Amino acid sequence: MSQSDKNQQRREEPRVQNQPGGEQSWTPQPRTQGEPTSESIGTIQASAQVVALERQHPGPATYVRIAVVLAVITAVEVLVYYADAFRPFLVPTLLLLSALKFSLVVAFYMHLRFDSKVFRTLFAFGLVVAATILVALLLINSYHGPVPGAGVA
Amino acid sequence: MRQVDAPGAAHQTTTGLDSRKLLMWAFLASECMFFGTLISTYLVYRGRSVSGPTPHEILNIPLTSISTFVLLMSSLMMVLALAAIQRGDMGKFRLFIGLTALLGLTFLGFQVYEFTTFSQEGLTLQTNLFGSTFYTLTGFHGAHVTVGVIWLLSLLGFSYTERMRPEHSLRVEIAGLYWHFVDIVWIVIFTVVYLVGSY
Repeated sequence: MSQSDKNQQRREEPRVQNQPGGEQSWTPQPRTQGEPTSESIGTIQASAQVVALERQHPGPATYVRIAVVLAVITAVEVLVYYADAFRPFLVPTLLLLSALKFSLVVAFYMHLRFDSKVFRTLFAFGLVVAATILVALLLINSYHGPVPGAGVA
Repeated sequence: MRQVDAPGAAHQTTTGLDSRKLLMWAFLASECMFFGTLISTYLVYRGRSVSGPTPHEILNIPLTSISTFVLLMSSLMMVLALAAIQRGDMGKFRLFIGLTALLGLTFLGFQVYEFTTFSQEGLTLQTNLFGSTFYTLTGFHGAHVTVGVIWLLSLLGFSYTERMRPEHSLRVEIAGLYWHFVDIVWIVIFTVVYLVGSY
């Protein structure tokens, strides 16, 4: 059974709560007034799927926590930049902190940690190509020296 | 998991994924390559300028740190807007999407100020290699932020009509993906161009 089928099944089940002694109580769901139209049914179905999505994605409290972490990392980056003690390993430290911020935004704000693997693969492909271009250009440049004419204003 | 936006827009796909979201991720992957080449170019020409101003002389780290913080907070507002519309809370959605656009505009204000100051201090697109690569990279990023702000404001406007209801939350999610991408590009630019670049 797929995840969407499970979610559909969960939505269709009435709220049955187990009581002490093995008895079950049923909590009636709020009723909408008037006859349901095809539009209202569609809206309710879409909303139910949105709720199902919400179960997968983190809530506002997690988003705020991530924002605090991002702000703290940015502050640490600036402090590291100005701290003389970090001079010998400034670049790796800054790149590491930047990668951490990048990962947090992609994983939690862009929901890549919770969404389909297809999206993850697609985005990773773009990142790998970009990184390859970067490394290749830097290597070519370091072997062959400055491009002829480079540096001329 | 197959996702549904508007009831009438529900459709089957061979991947089981919404085509619009898949398209946005494909676009973002191509954008990674686009900004990857711009960042590579900046790094290749780093330190090759024969005349000033150089990054160390001109970049204002405290000011850019504040604009970076502003953009990070706009990403927070964006996810809160998405969470609000998924809950069906249109009032909160309008508040957060409006704040996201406002913070985006604030970031653009910082960039306009920075570009104006640099220009007055003698750094233009033609001055040296640093000027060319810096303005090209940050200018393209600024253009992306501008497009994002227009997109967010249009979502805010549509929220007062029937074209933006809670069942259309996928539209907000797709706009959010674009906005967060603009944010992560700036995370890289801030480190590579501003912090490492002026070191």
